[in-house]
Amino acid sequence: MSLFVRKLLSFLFEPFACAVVVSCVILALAGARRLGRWMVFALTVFAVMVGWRAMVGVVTTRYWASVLIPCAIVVALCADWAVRRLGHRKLVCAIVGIIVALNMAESLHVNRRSANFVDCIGMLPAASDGRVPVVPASEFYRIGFLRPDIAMSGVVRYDGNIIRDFSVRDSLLYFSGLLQGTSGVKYLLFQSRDGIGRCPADLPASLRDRLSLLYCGKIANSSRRSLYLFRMEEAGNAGRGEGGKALVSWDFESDAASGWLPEYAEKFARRGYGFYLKPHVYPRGVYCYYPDVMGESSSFNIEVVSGSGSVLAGAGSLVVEAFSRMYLMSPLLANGNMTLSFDAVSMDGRAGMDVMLFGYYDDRGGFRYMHLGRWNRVPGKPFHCVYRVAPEWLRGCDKVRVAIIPEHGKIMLDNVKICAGWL
Amino acid sequence: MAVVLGGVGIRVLRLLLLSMPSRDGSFYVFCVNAWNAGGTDEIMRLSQDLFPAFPFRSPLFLYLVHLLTCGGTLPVYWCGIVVNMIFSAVVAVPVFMIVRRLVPGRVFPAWVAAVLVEFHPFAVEIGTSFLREPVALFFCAMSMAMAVDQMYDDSPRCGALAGIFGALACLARFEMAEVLLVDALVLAMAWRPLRLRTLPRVCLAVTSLAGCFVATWCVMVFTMFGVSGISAVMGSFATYFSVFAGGAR
Repeated sequence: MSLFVRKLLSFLFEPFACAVVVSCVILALAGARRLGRWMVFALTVFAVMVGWRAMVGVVTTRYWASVLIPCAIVVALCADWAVRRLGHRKLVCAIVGIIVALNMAESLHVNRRSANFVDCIGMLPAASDGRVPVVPASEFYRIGFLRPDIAMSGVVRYDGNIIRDFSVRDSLLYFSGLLQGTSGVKYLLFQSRDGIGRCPADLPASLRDRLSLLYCGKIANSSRRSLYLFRMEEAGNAGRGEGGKALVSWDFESDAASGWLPEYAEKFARRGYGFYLKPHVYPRGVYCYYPDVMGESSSFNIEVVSGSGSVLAGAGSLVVEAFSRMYLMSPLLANGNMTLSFDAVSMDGRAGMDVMLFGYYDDRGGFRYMHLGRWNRVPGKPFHCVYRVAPEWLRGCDKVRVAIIPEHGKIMLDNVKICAGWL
Repeated sequence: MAVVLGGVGIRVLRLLLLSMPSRDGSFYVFCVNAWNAGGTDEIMRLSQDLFPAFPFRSPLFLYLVHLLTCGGTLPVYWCGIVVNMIFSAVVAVPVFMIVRRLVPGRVFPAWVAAVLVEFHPFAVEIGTSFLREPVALFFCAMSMAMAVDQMYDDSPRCGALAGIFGALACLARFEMAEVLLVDALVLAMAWRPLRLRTLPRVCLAVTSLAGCFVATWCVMVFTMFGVSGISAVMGSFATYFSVFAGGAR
């Protein structure tokens, strides 16, 4: 299927378009006075279109709100039919009221969950040649919007210090923690709630003591303890400027047959993709990491662009306030990769922010973009964040723009660097 | 009126309880701030800077907030909330009109539909946000309501109103251009089967719909951005389609 056709289908299935098309079917056919038969058809179309979007996880609150109008029309017509057939108006009103109440409860539930989400984007290269595979944006979101219903809690440690604790129950989140040891072995952890504070048995003591990010998660639908350990081994002394290669192996240490994670991880690993974890749910100060192998930095150039003068440049640091955004422009070398790193700290303890990446690939302003990270709460102490972007994603781009968008509060960024170079 | 006022009340209540600004809204606040500070040139420059491929996707909502802030005198965020609160509350009116037409002789289904869109939590949630959806949905629903009126009354005036509201919906959110599809199909159903003697009225309805759509669109863009805005917005939409056809996101 050509790209255009896929894009066209995607556009037609966009929830707003869906709402409009369904409205169209309902109104037009209602005008034709064949309500009974065609209403079923309209509802079917509606269910398929919205259901498809929900399945890939792009239906958010405002999209649901957009389909509310055709929904309301359909419900009203059905209520009319029920009243005529049953003759109990109060009963029908009660049913509609219950529907609204259930929706309201779900909405409140989602809101409560959203407020507690932990954000983490992780990507493990599945290719054995050291090249970080590309995950198309569609796959990116398809993975990201799955709702595995993992509950989690735990602490985030860095060099032995607790930098973040969290406790999230009944969240939508899937989770990646990263362990990186001096031996060059990296672990991505998923651990059950009852494993709080305990490291996997095979974790080297040197790792436990030195650098750890422990996340604990539990698959809600599973009665069994589930522990997932993703291990990434680096061949050679991989690191900046040394051109090492990354090998990845996936170790699922529990069967967790009821869980979503092994299934999808394996599925995507088989397809040659890395493993993106892109929650649409939101963070409380977490690590974002693209653990590809960083090549030598050849150049970087940062241009701070401010739209309204709200970005302030301090002594070696940048302060970004809510309702503003900061752009970092950088030229790219052909086929180069890119690493963005900075230390972020919330100046008022309540800041949140998004990090977006735009890659510009032609003179007409064509670009692709990727959501690198979203934090509901930036930590109160400097938190080092690294994003690495594969050259495949950047292919054809001659410059990139990083947008750092505070949500509320004030964020100070320090040691901001964009490194554009070669693998 | 009671439903609308009740809807406003519940939105105010929600706002008092959950006053966290919307994440997406922060971007629009930023745009309106720029508009207030630098005028039309600044918002055009900023739009092209932020979204080079299709900068003018939703100017109407920003424009309404820009107007309401009285040039930056009033707080932008709250002005946007007020705009959304009003538009999301009155969206029950066109929905009521539509169902009233579809189910003639009984007012109960229309009330059910109006109450649903007024008090549903999703509607309340976006009604207290800083997003462009409530404005777009209201104009979209109005356009559909007028198309249905056209279907039942066979009145070119309703077709013209459908075109006007469709243009406003399109300016509030670009994807709402598809409301024209609704209007066109509703009109098509109204004259099915098409006969020769009804052809002049069909042509009149279609012409009034399309003409008013284009005219409203041009007038509004001219009002917001001046003469240069029309070419810029046209170019933006053309680029949008070319980029879309090229597969870029």
